[in-house]
Amino acid sequence: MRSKHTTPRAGGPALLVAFLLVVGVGCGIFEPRDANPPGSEGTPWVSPSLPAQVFLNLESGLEDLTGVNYEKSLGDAFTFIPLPSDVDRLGAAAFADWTKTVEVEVTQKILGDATKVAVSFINPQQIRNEQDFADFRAPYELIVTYTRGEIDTFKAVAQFDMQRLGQGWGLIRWTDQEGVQGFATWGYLRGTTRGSG
Amino acid sequence: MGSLCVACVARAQAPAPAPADTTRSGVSGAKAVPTYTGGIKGDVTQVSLGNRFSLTLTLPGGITSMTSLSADETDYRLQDRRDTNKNFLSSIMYRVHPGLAIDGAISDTRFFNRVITFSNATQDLKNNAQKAEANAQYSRPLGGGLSVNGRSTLGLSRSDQTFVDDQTGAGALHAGVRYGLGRTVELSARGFLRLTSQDAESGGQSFSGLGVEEDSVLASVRVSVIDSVKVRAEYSRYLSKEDYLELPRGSFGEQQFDEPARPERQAKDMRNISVNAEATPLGGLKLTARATHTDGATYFAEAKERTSRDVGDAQEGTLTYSPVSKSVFTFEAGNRTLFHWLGPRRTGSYDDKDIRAKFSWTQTLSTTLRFVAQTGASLTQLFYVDTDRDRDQAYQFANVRLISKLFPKVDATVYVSVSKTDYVSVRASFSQNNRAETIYELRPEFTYKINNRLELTQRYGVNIQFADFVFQENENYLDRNMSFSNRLRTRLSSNLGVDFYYALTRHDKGSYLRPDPTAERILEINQKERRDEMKVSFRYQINSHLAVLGANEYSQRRDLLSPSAAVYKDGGVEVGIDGNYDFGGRRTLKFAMKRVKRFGPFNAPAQEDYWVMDSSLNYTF
Repeated sequence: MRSKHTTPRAGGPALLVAFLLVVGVGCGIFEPRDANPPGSEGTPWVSPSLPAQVFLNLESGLEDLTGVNYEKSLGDAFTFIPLPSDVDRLGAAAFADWTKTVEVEVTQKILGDATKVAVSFINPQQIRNEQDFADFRAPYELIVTYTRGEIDTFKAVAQFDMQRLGQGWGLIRWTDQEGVQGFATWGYLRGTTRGSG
Repeated sequence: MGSLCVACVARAQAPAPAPADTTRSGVSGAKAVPTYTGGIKGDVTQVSLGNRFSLTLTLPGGITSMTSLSADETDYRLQDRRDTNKNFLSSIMYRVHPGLAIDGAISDTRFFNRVITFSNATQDLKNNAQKAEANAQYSRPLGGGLSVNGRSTLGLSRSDQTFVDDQTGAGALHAGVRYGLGRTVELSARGFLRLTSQDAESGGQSFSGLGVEEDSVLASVRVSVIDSVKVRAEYSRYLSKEDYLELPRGSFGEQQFDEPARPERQAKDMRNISVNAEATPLGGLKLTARATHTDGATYFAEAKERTSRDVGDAQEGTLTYSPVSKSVFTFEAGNRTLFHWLGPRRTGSYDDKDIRAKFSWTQTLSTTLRFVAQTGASLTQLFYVDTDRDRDQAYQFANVRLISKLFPKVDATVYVSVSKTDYVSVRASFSQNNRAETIYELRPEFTYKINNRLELTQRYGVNIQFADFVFQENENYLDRNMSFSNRLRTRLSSNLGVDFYYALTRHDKGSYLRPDPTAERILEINQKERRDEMKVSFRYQINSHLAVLGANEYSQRRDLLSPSAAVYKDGGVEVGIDGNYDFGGRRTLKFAMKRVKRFGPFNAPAQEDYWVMDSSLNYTF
């Protein structure tokens, strides 16, 4: 028995042509807006020939509210590992597949809601010093002044794993290791910001 | 959903394993089934022990009782933390007649959590709660396609938490009605009302008048206009007002433990309207369309900065056309707008607009060859009300997947893809990193089924990414990845399987600039590395219950630009056993235990030597 579907119709190619016409004619609706040329915002980039200099660029990239130096300080393989207690509170999905792209997006969201950011990596202690890898352990403090006037402080102790990359050292892993009583961690801020849509 | 229901029916009809001697009869028809369940779990992060004893009592006259007592304890290996959780639950259910059932339950839950913080301070959290609840359920068909159902709940509870003690009384009522006129029309409506009243104490202060008022309604109508056209419309509304005690929170929800608890009021108002239509006007042609409007607002009386409201509209449609049985064309398009309002005290509110279109073509060329081709585009735009973060992201893609089985023992898949993403920050403050990223991908994969004992899978991958910066051309770069992997699955005997895996990845990246505007681009590599990964694993089945398994994995990453540079290495060995015993009568023993030793540059000592366990004993007396 011959199925009625076995009779070829011209509809398929016609549909393809129609789609290409729609996309072709309507290409304009998928065009992004024109951007303004960049201004003079931002702070100078310190070429990180030593691993500890990465902290300087991380701080300046946040404190100037552009995030540019912060993004440039992250290696392509960057990942963030939260405290288990933050995972318990926010769920594993909030921290899943934390890549450089996620870190940059989350950081831009945080900066977008801030009028002032103060960052301190307090006396980083180098716990490994190899030719291409270096690890630091440091308490950090992030103070965010929001556009609505409130101030929040985030504290914890973290391990920072650096790798020597093509154009100097970069941060490839940030592991929150210990919380500080009475303060949320930067990791918690990351998780809630990522989940805030 | 349908298959799920079929599975449920099948499960309900399947003969339950009959415990050999689980019935303890005191009176005729009464049955008691005591059960013990214990388990140990462990991995690199934690070790936990759980014990649970339960007694199910079936009495004459349709009365069923269940009582359980459980205790769980978890110790965390990578941080100073311990959780203890104890629970007592007793419930009884009485089925008055097939349409009416009543039940009641009491429970006592004790949770304790201790964390040692950075400054060596001890932070204890507890939540001890006792609860009593009674429910009645009614469900009845009234004939003529009309049916009603309802449920009422009354409950009392008290809890003793770290920062607050409270007593709560609660009542809730659900009611629903459904009317069906054959397959043509179906109307349904559900309503829900819940009231609770709570008194609480915190920090030496008493608070009364706390509690929740919430109600919701959900109405839907489904109409089959003609056989080939179906329309479904839904409306839902949810309103709530909750007065409660809470610790002050920061803007991102973190509790501030050093502040006293204070009363807060949260109100929610959520509405959702949607219309779905589906039509099959011609053989092989199917159209679907959906439109939704959502409006959800959350208000806080004290922490007004947490107030938010999202208002959105979305329209989407799909056209699927199958002109011949071996061809399927699908066109999808959608448009969505969503306004995120962050309340009167916050800046950063924004409009989020998203449009997309996608076309796909699936063609079966022969019994051994078919392909799937897709192309599409999307644009996401954020318009900030009061900050200069406006940004767009435009995405275009086209890809083809060729799936073939040219020879009986060889499966092949080839995937080719090109995509382009434009990242655009509109304002001058953030536009310096505006760029277009273009990615070309080729991923062939072959599986050779050499014989019943050997199967080889090979995957190749080439990924080339160009980044072209709009305003900073000296940042332009090229990033290339090439990968190749082999997986050989062997079954050396009926009891022994061994898998071998090896993967090689080469990566380089560098600036890709023109010396002058008319010159060709020159690639200057400043990052080049090679990664090798290897894994050998085996599983030896000693008998139908017991197996020995193990694995050895190793990987290394080497910088190819400076051969003298340190090599990054990690890996590990794990060996263990896996057991699964079923003694009948709902008595089972399952255990899996592995010893793991790992090495790696970033591992803490606790991550280098540990056991992985997952064992449970279930014993029905």
